[in-house]
Parts: sequence; structure tokens; C-alpha cells
Amino acid sequence: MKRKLLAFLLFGLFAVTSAIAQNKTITGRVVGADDGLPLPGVSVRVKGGTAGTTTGAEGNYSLNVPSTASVLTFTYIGYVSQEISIGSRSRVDVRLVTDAKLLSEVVVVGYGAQSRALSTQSTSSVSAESFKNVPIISPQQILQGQAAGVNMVNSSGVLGSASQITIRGGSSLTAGGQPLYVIDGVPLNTGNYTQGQGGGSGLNPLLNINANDIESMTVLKDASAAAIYGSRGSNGVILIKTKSGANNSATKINVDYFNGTSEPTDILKYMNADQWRTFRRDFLQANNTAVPAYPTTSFDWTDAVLRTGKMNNFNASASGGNDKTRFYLGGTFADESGYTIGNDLERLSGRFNFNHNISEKVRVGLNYNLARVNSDRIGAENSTYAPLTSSYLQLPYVMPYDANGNFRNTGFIQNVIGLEATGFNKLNSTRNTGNAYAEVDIISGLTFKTDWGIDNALFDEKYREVDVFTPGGYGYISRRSDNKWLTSNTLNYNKIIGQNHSVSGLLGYSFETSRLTNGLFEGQGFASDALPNIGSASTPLTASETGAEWALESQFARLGYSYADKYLFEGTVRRDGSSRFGANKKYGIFYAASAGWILSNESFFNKDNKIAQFLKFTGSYGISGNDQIGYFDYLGTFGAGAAYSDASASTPARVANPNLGWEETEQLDIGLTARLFNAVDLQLNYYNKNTKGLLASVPYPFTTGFASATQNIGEMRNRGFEVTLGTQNVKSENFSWTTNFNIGFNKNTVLSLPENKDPEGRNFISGSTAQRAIVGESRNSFYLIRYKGINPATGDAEWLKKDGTPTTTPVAADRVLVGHADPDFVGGFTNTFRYKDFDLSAFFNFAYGNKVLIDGLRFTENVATPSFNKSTDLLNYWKTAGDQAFAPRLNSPTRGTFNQLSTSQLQDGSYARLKTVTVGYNLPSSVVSKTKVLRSARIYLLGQNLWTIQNKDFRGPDPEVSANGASNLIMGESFFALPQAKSVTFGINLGL
Amino acid sequence: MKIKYIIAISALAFSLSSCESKLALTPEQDLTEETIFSNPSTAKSAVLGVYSTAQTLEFYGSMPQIIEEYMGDNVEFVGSFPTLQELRDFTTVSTNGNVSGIWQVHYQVITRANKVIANIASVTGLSDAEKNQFVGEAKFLRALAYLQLVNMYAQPFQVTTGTNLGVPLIVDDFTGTISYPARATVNQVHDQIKKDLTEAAAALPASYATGVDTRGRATKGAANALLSRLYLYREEWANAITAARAAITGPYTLATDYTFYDKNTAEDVFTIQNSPTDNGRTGSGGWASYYSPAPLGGRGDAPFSANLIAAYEAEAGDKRYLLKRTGTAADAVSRAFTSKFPDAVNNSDNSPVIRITEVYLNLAEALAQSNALPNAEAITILNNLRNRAGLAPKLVFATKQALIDAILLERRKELAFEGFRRMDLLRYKQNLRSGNPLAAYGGQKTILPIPQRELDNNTSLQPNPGF
Repeated sequence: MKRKLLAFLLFGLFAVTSAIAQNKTITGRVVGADDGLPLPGVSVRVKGGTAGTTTGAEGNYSLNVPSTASVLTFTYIGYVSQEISIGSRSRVDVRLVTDAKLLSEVVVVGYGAQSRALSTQSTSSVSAESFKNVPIISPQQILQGQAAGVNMVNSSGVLGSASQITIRGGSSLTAGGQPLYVIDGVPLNTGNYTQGQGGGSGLNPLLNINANDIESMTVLKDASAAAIYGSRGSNGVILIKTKSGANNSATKINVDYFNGTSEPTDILKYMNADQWRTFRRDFLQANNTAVPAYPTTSFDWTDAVLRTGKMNNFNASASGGNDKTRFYLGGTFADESGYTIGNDLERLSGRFNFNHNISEKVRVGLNYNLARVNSDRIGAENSTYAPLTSSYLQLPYVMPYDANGNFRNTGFIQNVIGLEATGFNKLNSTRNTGNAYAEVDIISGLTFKTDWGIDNALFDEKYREVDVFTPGGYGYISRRSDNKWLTSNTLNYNKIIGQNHSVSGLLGYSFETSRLTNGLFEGQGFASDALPNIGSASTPLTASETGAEWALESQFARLGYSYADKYLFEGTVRRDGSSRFGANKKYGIFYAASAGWILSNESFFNKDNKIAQFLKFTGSYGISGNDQIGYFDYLGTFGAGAAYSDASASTPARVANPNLGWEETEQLDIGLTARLFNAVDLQLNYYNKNTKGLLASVPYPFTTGFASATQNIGEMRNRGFEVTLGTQNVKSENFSWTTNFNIGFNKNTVLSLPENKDPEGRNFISGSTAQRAIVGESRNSFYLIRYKGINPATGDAEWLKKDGTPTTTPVAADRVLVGHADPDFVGGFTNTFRYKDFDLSAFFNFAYGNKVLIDGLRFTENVATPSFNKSTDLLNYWKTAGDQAFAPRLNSPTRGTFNQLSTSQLQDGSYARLKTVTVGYNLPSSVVSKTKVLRSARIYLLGQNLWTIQNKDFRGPDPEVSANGASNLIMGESFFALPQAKSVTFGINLGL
Repeated sequence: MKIKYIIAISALAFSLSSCESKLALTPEQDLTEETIFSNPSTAKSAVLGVYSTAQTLEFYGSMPQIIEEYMGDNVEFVGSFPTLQELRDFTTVSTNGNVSGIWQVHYQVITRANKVIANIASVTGLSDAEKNQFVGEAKFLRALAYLQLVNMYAQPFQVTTGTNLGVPLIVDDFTGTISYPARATVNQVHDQIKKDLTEAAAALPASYATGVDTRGRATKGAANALLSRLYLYREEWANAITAARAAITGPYTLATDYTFYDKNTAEDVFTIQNSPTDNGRTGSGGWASYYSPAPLGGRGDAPFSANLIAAYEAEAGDKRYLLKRTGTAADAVSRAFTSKFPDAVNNSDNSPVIRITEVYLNLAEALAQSNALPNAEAITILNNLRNRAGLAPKLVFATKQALIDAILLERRKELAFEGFRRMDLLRYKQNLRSGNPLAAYGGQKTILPIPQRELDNNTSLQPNPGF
């Protein structure tokens, strides 16, 4: 198959080169006049003639014209048309001026770019302006609240924490559910590269992608947009385009600096030592038990682990170009310390983007990013070595120091102050990401491009615990690298036939492979705490190396046709072959078709009406897939590497399934794009996604010896509606006010699952003890015992039996459906004001209708346990009949079960948050110009997460949690997440 | 000019033709099922894989044993795991994660043993003697798993003389077709254990080439010893005596003091071998982790109970009471912990499964039970152990029951912390903890619930009532 394709490509090349006649060929590049960014899809015609072509993704075109031709016309929706005389030139570069803002938007799409107005794909994009100067560690944070239908959740306030992104409700259960990230055409590796330290996942794998270099992020949502990524498109694709220079422009230098502080948005309640001792004494006495002599000391652990976080960020960039070469150079140094002890992060990164025209018809380019992120890690969530978790649980009479002032080992709930002050817990990571390409215009409108990319990520972790906390001392190093290379080779053809028929075609071949290597070395028994390296350990506990490789080979094609900018059609097909699937399912074919009708371009449409200036209807249908399963899940295997009594041992690891194949999502999308009242840009989309052959980890009875096996079984639907609204409320010389609003509603319904029935007879798959995917319900349904409250008459805690009657001894069979973790809707709301040289912008993001489970409350709201600290809420315990108490009577038979897993820990997770607010002042241009050095100057104050609106009864530090990181089946659960940081930064931007 | 670029690009395009075979990748850490039973060394690794599974925290890595100790009255669980606390308080529900984990790992041991039993015959290059031995080892481990499983998840034999529900019996290799077995009765499970141990005793060698293997792999002596334990639990005294006597003929002698732990001495009949790099520790769970105070690297979760301390202190000078260390427990109070498992840093201590002391205690108890008058041999065994503990001999017992009581007390003090206490109480219809009605003999929560996950998955399974 591939050889045939290659032969075809080459035949095409030679056939067309020989066909190039004596006619003159004009090449050139079309860019926007205001920003110098390339314009794709611009119609280029000979004036008076009928034939023409359209520009490619980078604005380049080549057109074979008769020697008689003298003038070229450039027309593009949303821009003022231009006529340019050719003269004796063979190169004609053009800058087009906009006449309507939304319509002039260019969106990046798979293997190309399109005018938003002419695109039939459903995409959302976020440009650099929306996240400029915002302290961001990983690029996913850019998308929170900014793109309709995208639900982005920070897993915690740990610096560089993993994020969870679901696009249009997510399409997977037990397979990976995160979108594919593609930076300048290179799909990024997004494995779990760091040790989990208490949470369900490690740090964010995209830690090293610097937001400062990003020009735009585009989310491909519907099948017509995602199908070009075939087997990796069904959970959505996020295209990241980095900054580039403009031709023929003076070199621009930008310098940005900001400095700020942070603190937690909120913390949990906890008792002080006196409260604890009094409560404990009362509890023991109420139960006729002797009260031990508890130490009389006291210490505020939570106060001791919190500090004021600090951040410093310095970024400089230079960009520019002449007629043949464009470049962008950017560098960032950032230094951030979190608001709990022990959590720091330092980033140094540089980017070089370069494009050069070797000749009129041959172009080459390079995008290269080198980044290093060093971090001081902390545990989080379910780790008693994590500063905040441990501080909530540590008994408040336990002291961190002994009588001599030395750190004490406090046991299972470890002395986190001592841990952070001694030893270390470091992550050093580096990442090289880049691609180089060469592009040749073969004949008029036909371009061949070969692109070669790499993504090499290396995450090195090093941990050391000193003698006082582990006798003899303990340490490990973990080294994970994921090294990818890929090539994609495409033929692009753009032609305008006659007056109105515009055709564009793409044909491509790509191959991509990546190798993951994990090394773990663990040792114990050091002669001294001064020896940092594992080589000094007397007992090597672990010496492990594992590796695995995957490969993906693909052919793809896209054909676009439009008639008179009124009727738009596009078809996409991709064939993927993957090493991850069984012999019977190695190859998969994915496709999409879409159509659009620009009503406002019809001759009967009066463009001068005051209501609607632009109206476009689009519809698409197609199938994309998901390949995010293990490397060899189809093979029945025995795992080697176990041992017994110094000899190697093997244990069964997996059941064979040669029929293991792709997960397929078919999606229908119907959209409306409009510009109304000359001031309102509106985008509406309805979608219906059906995922079939869900890659599900089918639970096996443990009596088979296996917990589960991955199979294609089950079906799920996401249905939703998205609104994106941009309005120019006021626009005058001195004052302007714009509003951007987006909201995405989604309803997730599991349609079928493997046989595994609950008492109601519905099949389900468990995510956690509390959460499960249930047929007929959401994949993130909470299934819990219902907590009723403290009976004012008896002082006993009461729950509800399945039939709704109160009980003090609920059982597992009393669990019912009590809500879901996926929100009914999420969105964002931004208002930007400009008055003379001042600007003010306020951005809210919100989520509604979701539940979150704060599992840590099971620990802090324990009545009976002497093992850890408690919430002050427990002081409100039942004392006399009629008390409306929080906690039960101290000798109630429910004193030990009060804190059992139930809806008591389940909370309303709806919130709206003032995510960022910025006030800025631009030095007037009259002043700036006098400096002779500066081009622009701005100072600003930026606040992040300053204000959160949430349910008044919410008993948790933050409704935005996801302890399991990017998990599909466990959302909105937390043990003791670090809440998001509330921060204020002051910054300055200078243009030179 | 142009041709130059076209040639360059064509060369790049051609270089791709090497890619096709790249989709045919194979795992680097795993072997396929077909290869594992194709040669002697990988087949042996599959046999050792069953032992390796037996090391796991939820099998003999201490969790079941510690639960047996604190549901009984030897240990006070003061740790912070809610799921373990629920078991301590006899209030757990069927969704308890530890209960599910214990069930899962026991069936892993069983099914991995089944796989060896079913496939070893086809391995070319193994002698018949080796094949017999491997099958015997697998049967021994399967029997051990079923005995521990039925002890935990079913009411003991004494409640309805074994006619009550036990656990599902799986003895065939799982090859991909899922079956949904119902629970066999306790008697049926016991019969399978008897069968496996009897066959294992016939197939297994009395000892191996190395001392470590003689203690750490299944032997004829280990199979007979475990059989004596089963018969004791079933109150089949004569059979218990026969099996115990058969075991004692092996290469075992009573140790003269208490330094034998983790030493692979003649005291050990079967001991799971652990090392710093290879043990059942999972997270912060493990023998020494639970049983050691915090400053020594443990969790400080499972100190001596007041009841056990009283038992030792009732008779001064017991050397076994010296096997302790004192330090900060999980509740930040200073408490006494056993020193039988000292390495809390690496959890390298071996897991004692059968010691010859237990076999002598089994024998003594069965002898005492099966004779109307206090049995002389039982008294001798009792005094051998008392002598080792530094206690004066007790020669005169007024009744048979007085002797039995003395043997049981000795059994408690001897085997404390090793996972015997709960069954020793229940088979004499004793309450597990005093003062807690939920802990009374026959109480619904004195056994573990059938995991909810299994009930959901397998509708043939009947739950244990009350969860």
C-alpha cells in the first residue's frame, strides 16, 4: 500500500515538472496587513481571466499565468480585495487589510490553515492575546474557560500539576481520554513521565511547552476537523502554533517581566491541640474509657507548611525578517515557589523559528524548542509525606523537633517540616521539540512538502530521605525518556477553475514512532546524610529498566470544493496502521464529510441590512478513533521480572485478544456562524457523538486470576450545544468595551457496557469506590449511601436505606445514584475595557451541575480515631435532645461510622471564579516615541483566582479538583488537593 | 536547479520504505503464554511465580495475618486506614478495598497454581521427577490459599459443621472463557485442600539441595504440617495426630531459643523467603511496617493489645514477652511492638507460614482432645515449649480441659503476631474481643464480606449476610 502511494507521489512530481511550460509562474505570499500573519485560502487570479489558485497554510501561492497577464487580483472574505500589477516581477507578495474582524480570523487546522469564514470544520481557537502575561505553567491552562465545549480542570495547586481536559464530554472510558496535542505539526508525547506522589497521576507531561512562545491554540472538535488525525482524533485535537516573524519587517524586540505572590484560595478546618485534647477527653469519657495522658505541647502544622508563594518571570523575544527570511527567537526564565513549603519550579526555555525561501519555488523552515524545567516536588493528595495532607492529619500536640531541637520522626504521618528541610525531591526535565521542512512548488498550485519532526522528553527525578526519617536513609532516581520521530510528506493542490469553482486537495503519508524508557534505581542504607547518590547505598532495593515502542503509519487525504464562496464542501479520509492493535485489527480507516452554506453571500441577501452581516450554516459527519491503550494489550503475556528466593519468576499478566481494535466515534455537528448588528459575532454548534467499540477494561471475576481485560465493548453518547459570543459593546476613540462569552452544555450517557450488573440491573464499570459508569447514566456517576444527618432526638448519625427510610447501619446495597462528576455546562466570560491608555480585563470561568467528592473529610471528620487531627466542625456534636448538630453524640453507636464514605463527603462542585483580572497602563505613544528606543511600554497588575463563587455549604478547599489527573472514570475526586493559588503579579512589557 | 531539489526530496521519500516492518513490534518485558511453558527455565520461573505471588502483602505479606491478629485480641490496631479500622470495629461493608484485594490475590495464587498444574506436563526437557515436584509445589500453595481464604470469608467449621458456604472452588486452568462459579461449602473446600495436600505430600521431596529451598519451598513436611492444621480446625483429632507425626519426621527440630526468626533454621517447616529487594511490601504495608514503631521506620499501626500484655504478665519471666520493642505508635502514644519482624525499613523479614512449634502444638492439642484424661505426650510437648520460654514446668492437670486450656494459652503466647489468633478463638466458639457484641462468636462481621465487586460481576455468588 505504502509503496504504491510513494510511487504515485513520485510519478506526480516528475510528471508535473516536465509539464511546466514556457508560461510565466508567479509566486508570492499573502499576509494580513496588521499582524503580518499568513492568510490561507486567499483567491489569486489573473484579472480578466478565469483561472487561479488559492494560498496555502503559510500564505504561499504559485500561479502559472499567460505572458500577457498584467494584473493579479487577491480576494479574501473579511478583507478588502486588492489588484496588483505584475510588471516584470515573478514574485508578488501582498498585505491584505481587514474589513470585518471575526470573518478575517484564520484558524489552524490539521495539516493546514483556513479562513474561519470559509471553513466547514468546528473549531475553537485561543490567541496569545487571551493569556498574555498570565502566570501559566502548562499550555493546557490556556484553554480553561476560553473555548466552548472544552472542560479543563487543574488537578491541584501543585506547581506543574497534571490537568484534565475533556472536549465535548470525552469519548473514552478506560482508554486514554486526553486530546492529541500537535505543536507546529508534531504530535506531542503525553505519557505519565513522573512518579505519582500521592495523587493518581504525576506532573503535567507538557510542563516544558512554554506558553510565551504560543501564538494560538486551536481545538479541533467535530469529525470534519479531527478525522484527518484518524485513530487519534476522537478525544479532540489541540493544535498549537508557535510564533513566527514577518517578511520585510524591522526586527521587533519584546521584553516582559513580572513578579508576584501567591497564597491558597482556601484551606480546610482543623483543631488546635487544646481543642483536640478536650474533644478526645470528652469522647473517651462519654465512652467510659480511661483518658491517656496526652502530651501538653501544641503546634500549628498547617500554618507551618504554608508560606507566601513567589513568582518571577522574564521573557524576551525578537522577530522579523527580510524578503527571503523570517525568524522568531524567544527565551524565558521563570522562577516560581508555591505556597506550601518544598514546592518550587524553575524554567529556562528557548525557541527558534525560521523560514527561508531558497528560491522562488523552494522554501525551507525550522521550528525548534529547547526547554528545561527543574522542580522541587512535593507529595499531594493521598500521601502522608505531602506537606498539606500531613499537616491536616498530624496530631496537633506532636512537635516537629525533639528536646535538642533536632527533627523528630513522627511516623506514618511524617514530619513534613523535617522532610522538606532535609533530603530532596527533585525533578529535572528537558525537552527538545522541533521540526524541519522543505517545500517545493511543482507546478501552478501544486506544492510538495516533506516535514521531519522530533519530540524528545527526558524526566529525571531524584529523591533522598535522611536517616532520621528512614533509618539508614533512603533514595531513588527515576529516569523516563520518551523519544519520538516522525515524518509527514504531503502534496497540496489549490486551483480555481472558471470563475467560481475553487478546489483544494491534500494527499499525505506519515510515519511516527516513539520509544519510552523507564529506569528506576532505589537504595537504602547510607553511611551519612551527606551522601546524595544511590551509589552510596548499602542495599540496592530496585534496579529496573523497562522499555516499549509504538509505531503508527498513515495515509491521508482531504478534498475541498467551494462554489462562489457560497457552497462549501470538504471530505477527509485517513488510514492508520498501528503497532498497538491485534493482527485482525491492525489497520483502521477514518473519514469525515462536511458542507457549508454562506447564506449571506447569496445574491438575494441584502448585505446592507442592519441585523445580519454574515450567516453561515455548516454540517459535518464522520468517524475518528482512539488508540490510547497500552503498547501490547492484544497479546496474552506472562510478565517477567518477578523473583522468588533469588531466582527469576514469571506471572500471568494478560489474556490474549487478537480482535482488539480502535475505538470509533461517529459525530454529527451542525453549526451556525453569524455576524450580527455589525458588532456581535456568534457561533452556535449542536453535536451528537456516539462512541462504539469503546475500549473498555472489562472486569473479570477475580476467580479467573485476572482483574480485567481490554476489549472493544460498549457504547457511549455525548450530546451538546455550544455558544460562542463576541461583542463589541462600545467602540470610540477613547473608550472601548468588548465581551467574550462561551458556554458548552454536554450530556454524557453510557449506552451499553459489558455484562456487570448493579442491583438495579444496569451494567456498570467502576472508576473508584464512589464513582462508576452506568448504562443509561453518565460515565462519572456517583453511587453512594445517602447521608441524612444527625437525628436531633437520638444524636445518632443517620443514612437512608435504598427505600428512603432512615437507618444507623447502612450497607452497600443501600447505595443509589446521587449525581455525576461531569458538569452540565462549563464556560467563560471576559470583559475588556479600554479607556485612553488604560485597560481593564476581567475573565471568569465557570462550571455547573457537577459533584465533587472530598475524600479527605473521611479522615478529618473522624470522631473516634486518636490517630490524626480533626475538623473543628466536629466540636458541634450532639449534646442534648433537639440539637441540630454536625457530629453524632460522642457515645453514639454511629461514632465510628459517622465519617464512612457517603454523600456526606459529596459536595456541589459548581463554581464561578474570577480567573484573571488585569489592569494595565500603556505609555502614550507621544511619550514612547520621544524615547527613540521604545516602541511601546505597558505596566500592569494581574490577579488570578481572586474570587470564587461556590455553594455556601461547600466543605473543601476548592471545587476545582481532580486527584486522578487525566482519568476518564474518576473525575472530581480529591483526597486533600492543594487548592488553586490566589496570586497577584505586577509586570511590565516593553517593545523595542 | 529544480531537479536537484526533486532528487533530494525523492531520496527522503524513498528512505521511508524501511518503515513497514516497524508496525510489527514485540514487548520487551513480557513473554507470551506460548513461550512460557516451552522450555524448562521459563516453566520453572512460572512455578516460582506462584511463590512470588504468595509473597504479596494481601497473601503472606502480612495483611491477612495482621487482620487475624487484631480481629482477635492479640493486637490493638491504632493505624489510620479506615478500611482496616472498619475490620477492627466489626463494621465493615462489602465495598472495603482491602477485603477485595485479599480475595483477588488469593485467587491469583490459586489460578497461577492451576496454570502450572495444567501446563507443566507439556514442557519438554523437564524430567518426570521435576514435573511431579512442580505440580506438588503448586498444589501445596493452592491448598494454603484455599485454607486462608475459607478461614477469612466463611464462618468456621464449628458453626454448622462445615455445611455452610465457603468460597468458589477453581481448580482448572483459566484459558479465556470466563466462568461464574458459585460458592462451594466449607466442607467441599476442605476436601479439596485435603486432596491437594495429600497429593503434594506424596509428590514433594523431604528436602532440597539448599537449606534455603528446604525452608522456602514446599516439602513433604510442609504438606503434612498444613494438613495437621486443617484437621485441627475440623476437629478431626486422629487425622491431625497422624499428619502432625508425619510432618515431625522431617528435617525439623524445636529451636532452643527465639533467635530463629528470619534465619531459615530447623524450626522452619515452610517460610516465605523475603529480601530487601524482593518482598511483599506494598506502599507502606508489610510485616515490619505494621509491627514497628515510627522511629524505627514503621507505621506504628499494630502494637500489643492490653489483653495480650496481661496474658504474658500473668506468668512472670516469659522470654517470649521479651520479643518486643517500645516506641511511638500511629496514635503518637508510646506502645509495645513485637520484635519478630524487625526490618521496618526494607521489610526483608521472612514470612513464617509453618513452624515446627505449631506442628507440636497441633499434635499436643489433638492428643489432649482425643484422650479422656490429660495426655502425657501432650504435657511433655507443652513443657518443652514452657521450658524454652523460661517458665517452670506444669506437670499436673486436673482435667482434660485444663490441659487443653494450657495448650491454647501456650499456643497464643507462642504464635502471637503470626496470624493464628482469630481462628484459634473461633474454633473454640470464643468471642473475638471482649465487650463488643459485634465480635461475638458467629457474629456476621467476624468474617469478611464477599467483595461487592465480585458479587456485581458474578451473580452466582451469594453474599455473606449483614454487609
